[in-house]
Parts: sequence; C-alpha cells; structure tokens
Amino acid sequence: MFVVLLALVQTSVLPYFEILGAQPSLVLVVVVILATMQVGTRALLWGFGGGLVVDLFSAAPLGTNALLFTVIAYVAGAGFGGVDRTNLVIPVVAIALATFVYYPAVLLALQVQGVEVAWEAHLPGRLWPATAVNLTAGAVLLFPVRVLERWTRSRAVPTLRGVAK
Amino acid sequence: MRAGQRAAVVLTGLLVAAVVLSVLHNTGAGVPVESLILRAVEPVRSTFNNLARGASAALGDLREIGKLQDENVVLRAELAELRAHMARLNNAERENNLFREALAYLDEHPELDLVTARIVGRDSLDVLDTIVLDRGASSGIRVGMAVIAKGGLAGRVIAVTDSTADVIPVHSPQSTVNVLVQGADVNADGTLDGAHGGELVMRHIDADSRVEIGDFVMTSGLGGSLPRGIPVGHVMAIQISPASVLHQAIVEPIVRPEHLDVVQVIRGQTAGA
Repeated sequence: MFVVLLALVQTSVLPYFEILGAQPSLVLVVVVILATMQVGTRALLWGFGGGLVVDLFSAAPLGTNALLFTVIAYVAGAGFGGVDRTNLVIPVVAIALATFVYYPAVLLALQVQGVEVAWEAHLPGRLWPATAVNLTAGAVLLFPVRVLERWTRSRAVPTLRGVAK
Repeated sequence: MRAGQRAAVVLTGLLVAAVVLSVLHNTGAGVPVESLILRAVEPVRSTFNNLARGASAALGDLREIGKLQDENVVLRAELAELRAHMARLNNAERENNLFREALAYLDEHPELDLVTARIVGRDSLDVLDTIVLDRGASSGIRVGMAVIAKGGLAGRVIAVTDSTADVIPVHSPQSTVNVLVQGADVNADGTLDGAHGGELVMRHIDADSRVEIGDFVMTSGLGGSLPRGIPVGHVMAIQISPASVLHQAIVEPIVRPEHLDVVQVIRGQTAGA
C-alpha cells in the first residue's frame, strides 16, 4: 500500500512540482533503500511490485519499470545488502548509482520497445538534477522506510524464538 | 536451496514475468486488465491530480505575484524617470515658446535693437518688485531702457552692473510710464502708475477725451526714455471723478512679469529705421 501511495504521488502529484527540472523517483528510492537493508528475495519482490505500479500509473509500457527495479534491487542487495542500519553512506551511494543507471536504462528499454527517445533532451541535463532530487527524497524517506521494513518483517517472518532480527 | 540460489530463481522468475507483461502490453492482450485496474484507482488518481494541480496553480500565483511586484518596482522607477523627462520637455517647450514670441516681436519690429535676457532674480523684499536680468552693461544695457516681453512693455531698467540689470516692472507701485490711449476716435495722453494687485492705473486723462473700455494703451515716448508705441495693455474701466476735470482708467497689462522667464531690452533703434 505504501508503494502504491508513493507511485500515485510520483505519477500524479510530482509532475506539477519539478525541482531543478527533474522529479524524484520515489519508488526507485524506496526500493534501493529496502534493498540495502535486506538480503534475500523480499527486496526483489518490492522492486518488481513497485515497478509494476509505476508502470501502471505512468505512461511507460507495462513491465518496463518492473524489470528495471527488480534488477536494481538485486544489484543493490547483492552489493550493499544487510548494511548496518545506522550507516547513511551506503544508501546515499546506492541511490546515486541507481539513479545514474536507471535513467539511461529506462530510456534504452523504451527505445527497445519502439518508443522514439530523444536522448540528448533527456539525459545530459537531467541526470545530475535527478540524482540530487532522488538523494533529497532518500533523506526524507530513509527513516519511514526503515520503520516500515522493520514492521513488515516482524509481521511477515515470525519464528519459534520470536521476531527475526 | 541456499539463499543465493533462491534469490537467483526469484529474480529469474520476476524478470520473465516482467518480460511477459511487457509482451502482453505491447501486443494489446494485457490492456483490458490494465484498464480494469486503472479504472479502479481512477478516483484516487483524480483526487491526487486535482489537489496537485490546485497547489501548483497556487504556487504559480504566488510566484506571479512576486514577479509582478518586481515588475511594479521597475515600472514605477521608469514612470518616475518618464515624468522627470516629461517635465524637462515641458520646460524646454515653454522656453522655446518664449523665445519664439521674443523672436516674433523682433521680426515685427526690425528697427529695434534688442538684447534678449533671462530673469535670474527677483526682489526678495517685495518692495519694488524688481527683477534681475542676466545681462548688463557689457551687453549694452543702460539705465532707463525699456524691457519688453511677449510683445508688451514689461518694465524699465533702473540699475545695471557689468553682467546684470535691475528692472522695475510696469506694475510696480514705484513705476510711472508716459502712455497714450489709442481708440477708434481718441488719442489721449496720460501717466500709467503701477498698483498693488497687478493692475495699472492711467491718470491725468483729459475729461474731453472719449476713452472707452477696450481701448489700446501704449507708450507715448514723452520724456524720451521709452520709445513710442510699445503696447502696454487695454482699458478695463474708466473712473470719472466729479471733483476733477481729469479722469483715470484701470488698465489690464499685457505682460505680467511674475510669469516671465525671458525678456528683451530695447537698446535703441537701429540706424536707418
């Protein structure tokens, strides 16, 4: 539900409030934060589900963001997964790298599906602003996402010894 | 199955699912399901959209207000500058008209040797009502010369320095000028005195002369200090005293020196005129 809400905000609200000519990709940021906190398949499911919702609510062909977010969640989880919760550097680096990978990748995916893409208009001037706004969004969302992750994990993974840590 | 293998399997499954969804979308097969889902969330999306649009418009208005305020400051500055420019133009136009009038009089009286001067001072004590010109003896101005403006008598020079001249205006209570009335069937002499209030009083009019309201008053040239024929004003009223054989008339002056900036001093008549 949280991701659906973020996707709605990302696709229906944020287009009206561009910052530095770019909009934050909230779902991407949340998926990356979750992936850096978890090792296993849950981040993949978050990535796939989040991407799917973004695809549904945006003009992107269905499956485009689902595929990209899943791959990004996998790579982020493999590279940075299971970090200390007090570590702030890893999420920042992961969000910056994910943004740098995501924007060219989504343009490429759209082009592969037959969409005419103006690379020069979208990439050179927007990558840095997009990274900046995504990092800002990450700073805002980091704490709520960690709370959410802890809450969902405690409900989802009960053990005989209590709540899994 | 180990965690890494399980993740790889899930990843593969999800990627395959994404590709399948993409194919379904691009072939149109998945569109009905997408439409169904979108229709279900449409009210929420619309609400979000409307709220965002309203907030964005409000922000835009705020930005516009700020922009308008900035423009307002700039426009006010431009307006002040234009007003100052307009005032300078009006002043220049007024001066231009004065010089034109002076030149016109000069054209009408080519026999007169005139020097144009600017009024640079006035009697601060308001006793004699004298005015100060920016030309003096070095320009050939002498005491007693007539000063004209707008084609009429403005006053008489009473003192000079090298570079300035003091003029007693014709309406000053200290001023007396020999004049004559020129009407349809009248040609009467008299003296014209200034009076407080700006009007002129013509005295010593022969009771037998048939002066009428509206008659033209000009310098008579008697006494020799002022040339004959300089326009002074028009008769406004005639005062008849039973105790006197002489009448007097109230004359409205052509020139009111308090409204002047530029005058001309008659230095004399050119040779051959």
